[in-house]
Amino acid sequence: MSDSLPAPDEAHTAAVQGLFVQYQPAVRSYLLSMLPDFSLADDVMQEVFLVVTRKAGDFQVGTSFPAWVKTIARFKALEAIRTRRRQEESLSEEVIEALGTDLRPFHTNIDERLEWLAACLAELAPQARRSIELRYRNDHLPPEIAQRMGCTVPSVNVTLSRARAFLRDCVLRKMAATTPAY
Amino acid sequence: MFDEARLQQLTAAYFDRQLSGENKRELEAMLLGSARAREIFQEQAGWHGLTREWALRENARDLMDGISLAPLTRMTSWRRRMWWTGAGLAAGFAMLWAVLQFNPDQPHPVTAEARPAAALREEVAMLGQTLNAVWENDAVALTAGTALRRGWLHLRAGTLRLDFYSGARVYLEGPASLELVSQDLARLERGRLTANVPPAAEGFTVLNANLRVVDRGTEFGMNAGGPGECEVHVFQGEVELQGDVPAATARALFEGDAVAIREGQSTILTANRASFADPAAVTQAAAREAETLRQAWRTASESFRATPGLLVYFDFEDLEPGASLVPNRARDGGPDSMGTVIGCDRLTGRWAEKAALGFARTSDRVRFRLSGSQPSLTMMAWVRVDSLPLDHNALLSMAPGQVGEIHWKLDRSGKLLLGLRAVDALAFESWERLESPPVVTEQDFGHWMHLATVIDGGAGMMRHFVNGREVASGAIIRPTAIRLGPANLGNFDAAIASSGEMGVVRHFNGRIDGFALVGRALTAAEIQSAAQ
Repeated sequence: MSDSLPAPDEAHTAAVQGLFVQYQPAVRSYLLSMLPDFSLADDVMQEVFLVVTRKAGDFQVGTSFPAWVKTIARFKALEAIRTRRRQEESLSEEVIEALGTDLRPFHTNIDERLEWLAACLAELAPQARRSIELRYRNDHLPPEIAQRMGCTVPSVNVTLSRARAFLRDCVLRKMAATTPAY
Repeated sequence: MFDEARLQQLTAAYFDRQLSGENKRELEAMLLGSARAREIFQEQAGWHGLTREWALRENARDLMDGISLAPLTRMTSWRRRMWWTGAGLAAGFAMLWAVLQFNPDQPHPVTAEARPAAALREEVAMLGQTLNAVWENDAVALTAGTALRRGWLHLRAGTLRLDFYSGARVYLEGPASLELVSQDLARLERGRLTANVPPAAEGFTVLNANLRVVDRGTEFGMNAGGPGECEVHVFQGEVELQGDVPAATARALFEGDAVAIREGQSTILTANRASFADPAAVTQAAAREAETLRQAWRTASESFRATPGLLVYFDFEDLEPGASLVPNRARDGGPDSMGTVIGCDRLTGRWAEKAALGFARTSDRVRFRLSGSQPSLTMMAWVRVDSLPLDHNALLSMAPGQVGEIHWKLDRSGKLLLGLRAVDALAFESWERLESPPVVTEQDFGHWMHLATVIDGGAGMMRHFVNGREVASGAIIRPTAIRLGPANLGNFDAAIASSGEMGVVRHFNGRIDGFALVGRALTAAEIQSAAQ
């Protein structure tokens, strides 16, 4: 007996998982828009992946993967908000539903964006870069960042928002400069 | 219309978890009221998520480089998170796994990290043999073959044989306290020892308080009741007393001489060989102990053969000289599941008379074949690791190139690793993995240990065990049936390896004297009992 080829359903599951990996940053963004807590969003991300794997058979190649995974992500996020009692922190279900029906496509040139983002971060002033790192890499909130940097919470908020605006403009500028116009 | 600057400010506050109830309602009203507001919000969420993605990948990269970030206080959560950082980081990911799979909630495994060179320089003797040894207090029970560093040995009862690196061989009988000072110097505070000193080790010295007993060749006994209170018996050759020797005491003692020293006074005695440990008797007693162990193993092994779900059980006993077939001792194992030995010297196992196979050459392996697939599987082996020279030191590999393929191995740093191929693609992320902290260090080289790994498809968990104790566990993210197929014990099929260029030499270096594959997840209790 030869087992050299995976069964068709295994190959399909693998393909669906591959799509998930490709859309992973976009799914993360979508989850963070519903669950501001980084670690909770990470946990739910895993649950979404499990559902995607389990239900891979339901996904039909040729239909929109982002729309399908978005439905799963929204369902899982709402479930987390209810069971973990995050209603105070998250947007209301009504708003989440409204955000979900806007079928904006996910960005797919994520790897490129990540590369530019890293380059732009290097261009940030040291204080601004440190704020971003404390926020995103160490998962600190503005009050903790203020404490660590010896400044006030409002000034951290200003630093963060300026840094974010700079990063966005910088990445878009670099992308525009390298993308051929056609 | 809405105030766009205000929207951006509220959105940022929301993402930073700084939004109060009233402001949250303001943001919600904006989002409900305008498609454009939702677009701006989602755009901002996109950048926020992208930055977080960057941060997770940076963290992963730093961990791989061994740079420590802020203390990883939430290790478990980190470990659970790690999979997501993988997409772009296939290369060199092993290190990350190493760091992230470590679970601080579990007791530290059998041994600590690899030793620095300084520790090696501290070693002065090897524990050659133990007989009914009972250690003082909570001291870790040392086993034969262990390298001993400078320091005290406190023995409550039993007998030890210490092989000093100078060549001196010392039998120590408990209760005893002996300090190892160097490879030719020890301090006996209490207890009884017999020193056998070959010419190469002449000058081997034992202290008691300020008395120095210097061997000038061959054999002597020493019995200490405490500091400043001891007897010296010379069985063969000559011994010299130095230091605080009571007045009018002979400095040189010859064969048959003995002296007792107490409260600064000496008494002349006759050497009494019978009151000290007899090396031959110790060796015989050790042989009897080995035979008892062997009998116990025989009985346990016999009942293990009937373990429900047992697919393969090799004990390597009674192999015909020159023959290549290894019978599968599993009660329900079919004749097709016999193993074939390729290479592998026939060597001694856990005790004399127990057979083992030696793995040293790139060709050495035991090949067998199963078929079908299983949701759960348990692998167990009694192994003696002699060294870990390779990045991958294979214990078992099965069904190469297929989804459901497994690799069970140790890495160079002594971590126990399991890889289960969940996806066909040739990529690092294709594998479900479980990695233990280092469980085999240089100090374990040459010692027998029981390794077990469970893939529990029902519970969605993987677990590693060393000597019956769980040392690592992790969730199976992508449930995958385990493919049973062509298998290699102690090696892998480089010719059909799907590992690309990385590490095609993966043979095991050491001995294996028992191996079992069970087609279900054994419980922790079952593994513990098998490890005894």
